[in-house]
Amino acid sequence: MRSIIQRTLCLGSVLLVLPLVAAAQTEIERRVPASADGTVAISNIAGSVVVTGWDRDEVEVTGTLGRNVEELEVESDARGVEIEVKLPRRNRGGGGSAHLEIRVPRRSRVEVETVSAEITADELEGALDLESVSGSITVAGQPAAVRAETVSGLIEVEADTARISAATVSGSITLTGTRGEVEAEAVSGNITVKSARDLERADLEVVSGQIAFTGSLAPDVDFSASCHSGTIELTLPEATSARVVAESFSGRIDNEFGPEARRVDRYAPGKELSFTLGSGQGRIELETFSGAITLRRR
Amino acid sequence: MTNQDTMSCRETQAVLDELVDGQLSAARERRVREHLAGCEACRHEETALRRLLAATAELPRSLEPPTDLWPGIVPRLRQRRFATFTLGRSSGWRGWLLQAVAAVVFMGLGAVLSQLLVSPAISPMPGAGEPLALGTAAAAPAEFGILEAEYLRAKEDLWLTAYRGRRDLPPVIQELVERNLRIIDEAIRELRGALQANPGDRQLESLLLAHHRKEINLLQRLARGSEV
Repeated sequence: MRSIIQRTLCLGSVLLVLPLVAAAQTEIERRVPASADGTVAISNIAGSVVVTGWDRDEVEVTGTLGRNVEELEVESDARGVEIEVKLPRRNRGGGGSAHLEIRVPRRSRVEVETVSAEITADELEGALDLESVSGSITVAGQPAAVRAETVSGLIEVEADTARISAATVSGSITLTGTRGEVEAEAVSGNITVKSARDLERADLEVVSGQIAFTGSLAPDVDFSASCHSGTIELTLPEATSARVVAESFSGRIDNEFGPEARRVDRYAPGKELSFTLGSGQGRIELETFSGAITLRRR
Repeated sequence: MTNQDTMSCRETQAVLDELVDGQLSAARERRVREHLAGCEACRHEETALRRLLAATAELPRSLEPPTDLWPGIVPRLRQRRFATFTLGRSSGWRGWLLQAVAAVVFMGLGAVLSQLLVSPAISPMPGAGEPLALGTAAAAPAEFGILEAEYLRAKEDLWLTAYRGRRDLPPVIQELVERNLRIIDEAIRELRGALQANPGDRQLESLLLAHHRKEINLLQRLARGSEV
């Protein structure tokens, strides 16, 4: 008898909870017309935003809204499409997250802003402008240009794009297969550029993190990297053609291409290294305050 | 002009320094100028920057740095603490949150700035402590001091405009931002110390100004959510 009562109470509890769980999340599916190369602006707070390109002239939004989400606003006009997750002014109890999967015309300009929601963009050919506070940003595909900014989130771009601008405070930035122009900035995070292909211009700056670069540079490259207390490590192919200038106030400078760094002044700790690779067409400038600079031969 | 070539105000203002210095590639300069042709706000920023550079270029090399700069700044900080801040757009939570982040950051920055202003050992400019021996051939050029003063003034403006928006903030983000501002501040202190021992060192001056710029970029990025 007692076990029957217990089982009944347990089953009843489950039956009571199930509708609440179901009500906690709302499935969504919306579609609006969009121009082939218009702007799609998306804002979400928590959860995730996955943006994928497709070949239709419309924007489709699917996913789930948390129980504390007031509404999902989707508006389409001549200027473009706006998608915004709206929360009540006083959002107590949490649950104010939304997981959005959004399909947009492939050549759309996509702008995404989140607080902690992760951002993923793929199969897009337009320009991307992605910003989050603590959410990570991941980009693949062939966007025309990428601008990604976070405070603490990770930024990973493995895309065939001609222009990347990435900035973080304490997250890390990883750029793979980069070509064209790249700007990356971090305070305490690391910047890693891997498998760069004929990079034309680079401006990499970190205060206390590390900068690591591997890949090839265009013949007339304009490359600069700067750290305060972090390290800079460049791994370059033998065929690189550039005038190299490396300076450090108190850090080491190691060079596998031959010439050694020299003291700037017999009374000062600073070192500098200046030499030419190949025909010296391009320009590579590296500077640190106390971090080490290493040039490796690939 | 396709949608892909259009630059935003953010992108344009981020490269105005390079535009004025003639350091942009031809293609990029074309895109920037196209944006400027249609944007009064960005044209205003460009004009202000060119005027600043023109003003510093006209200064005589032997100019003695102003000695009364810093005593004037502290009272201004206190007076402007409750300056009105108007949101650029009414997108509730986003502008609110980023404004709150900026405000907390700026409170920390205000403490940092106060330290800089009152501590002679790390004074960024002569007048608040022992004056640097500027005005000699081996000393830092006058325009470096003036540029640094402009950066510090820009930080002051950022702090003051966001002060009013201080609200609840996720503790982890608050702590992270404050920690990174301390990292930048520590780097600035090290550089300033090195520069005092090695006045006129162009590499140190370049790094110091770059760190001021980073700090401003961080503050601007935090406040930008309420401006666009």
